[in-house]
Amino acid sequence: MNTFFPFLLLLLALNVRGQSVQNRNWVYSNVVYNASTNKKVSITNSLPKGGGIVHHKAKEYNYFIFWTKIRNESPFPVELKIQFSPSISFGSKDSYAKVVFTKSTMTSSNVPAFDYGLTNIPALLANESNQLKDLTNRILPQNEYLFYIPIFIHKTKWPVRAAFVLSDKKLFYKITAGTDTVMVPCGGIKFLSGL
Amino acid sequence: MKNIAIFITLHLFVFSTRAQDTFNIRFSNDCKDFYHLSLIIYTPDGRIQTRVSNLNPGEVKSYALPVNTEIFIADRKQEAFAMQGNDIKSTGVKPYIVVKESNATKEVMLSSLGQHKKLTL
Repeated sequence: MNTFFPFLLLLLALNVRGQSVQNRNWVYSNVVYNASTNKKVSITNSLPKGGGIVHHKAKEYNYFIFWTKIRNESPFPVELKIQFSPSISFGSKDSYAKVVFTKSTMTSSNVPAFDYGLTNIPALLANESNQLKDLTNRILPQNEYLFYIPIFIHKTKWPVRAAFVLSDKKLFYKITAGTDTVMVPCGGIKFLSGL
Repeated sequence: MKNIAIFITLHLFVFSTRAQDTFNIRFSNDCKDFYHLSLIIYTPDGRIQTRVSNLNPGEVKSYALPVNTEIFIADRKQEAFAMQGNDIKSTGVKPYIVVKESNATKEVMLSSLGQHKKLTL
């Protein structure tokens, strides 16, 4: 009995550690971009949640929910505009991704939630009235903007990762599915230093 | 008046069809090992797309691209440069192919490129 007790405690400790997933921050990358000393933004990209299957127009898609946080660390407002083409090919006619913007609002409190708290995912793909054509926002100095990036991939490879890359004022979105990577232009960030 | 309307409609139709002309390019891995293929694609609308794949032996990647698209085949260094959102054209490299013919198909055997024979920055 005396030898069994420490073993039981060890099992209990491991079990508690195993459930610490609630404390994960789900961050995949965090990059600070300095256009100049006064023009600074940081972009945080999440790891995916989801992976489930949805059907649309007789095709099967795996969905992946990401979030991105853009923080304006400059003394000026910044204007963000993001838009994607309807489908992004991975180089074969059979495998492509659709990036869809949702009207739902992502918040920090949703990070631990299932699918980051995003619901009605099949309806998001099926019904265009649930989607935003593009994402535009003005981020005030020392403020941040958090938003969902739901991605639907037909014939995906695993694992899936995605991140925004900022170069000068242009934004690119990089999606990796298994050994395939695609990076497409998707808009830009403008510093409104004249205001 | 009716004839003019028909004439304009026909013109619009013809030009609309022309605008959708695409060129198909296929990259076939005829090597015995996997091939790391990194393409940087400049479409005529000024967009730059980077596509990177590890192709297994016998695997094919195909792309349908508009006429006047420029395709660069990048090495690892150029790939890393492009993946930071940089424009590799600014380094003076020349495209592997500039798509000129519409409705045509070109097949590129990857063994003809060599894994390390590509242009460097």
